[in-house]
Amino acid sequence: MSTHKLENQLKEQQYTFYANFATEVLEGIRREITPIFLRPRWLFLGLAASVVLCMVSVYMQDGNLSIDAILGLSEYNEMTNYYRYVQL
Amino acid sequence: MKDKISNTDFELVNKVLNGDDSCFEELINRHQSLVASVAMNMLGDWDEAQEIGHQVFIRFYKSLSKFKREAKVSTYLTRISMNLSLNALKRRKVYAPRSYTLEHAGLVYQSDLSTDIANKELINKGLQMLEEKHRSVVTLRMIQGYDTIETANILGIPKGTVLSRLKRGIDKLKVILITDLKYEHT
Repeated sequence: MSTHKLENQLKEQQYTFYANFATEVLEGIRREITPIFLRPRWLFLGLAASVVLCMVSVYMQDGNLSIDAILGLSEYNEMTNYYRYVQL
Repeated sequence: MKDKISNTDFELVNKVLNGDDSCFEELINRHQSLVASVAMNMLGDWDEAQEIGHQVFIRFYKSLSKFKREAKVSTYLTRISMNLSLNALKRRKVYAPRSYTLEHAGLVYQSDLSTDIANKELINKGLQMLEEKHRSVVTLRMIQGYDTIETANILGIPKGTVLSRLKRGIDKLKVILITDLKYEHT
């Protein structure tokens, strides 16, 4: 085998990626540059975790998870309001 | 689209930096075969070469603002491809040591540029049996067509070393092809 023939063969060692390679790379770039906390999966998990934390906090304060407790009305007393009104 | 094709690489880089990401797609399409050839000839494994291809362009995108335009985009991409391929070969040695004998040099041929697929596969197998330092020089100098100085710059080695590695690489490749792989080129 001559060196010249080998050189010619080597020039033919060219390859190319598949057709939608560019699209896949761009998707990869988008994934890489999106901050981790803004990725849909993490956004959903963050939201779910916040709701659970709020519920735990309400339960620890009021001892139950009623609608009034969640809305912060569990300690609402009409008489308290009345006395405040009278004092004014 | 026609507008993008007529742009030079540097013009496309500027447009990407100004927020036009579609120009990056044109850059990928222009240079993907260069990256594929470097990675495939260095690694001999199509899946690994594709993975490297993705990493090359992602790394290029992230470093666009630092790209100084001292070298051509193609040269810059070749350098990234070569570095990532060499890193992959190092990882391969650490995590999955294997010698490139015929049995291990399996590859999937993915190009339609040549009519003689068998010869091309055989030469790729031969390349994988060369030492990395010789394979990298043969890939850049003989396959990608870079001159000696460009090859030396990309690999960060002296010009004389490129010439000696090229001579040794070609000689070894000839021996491997004829003796080990029974290559018969008519």
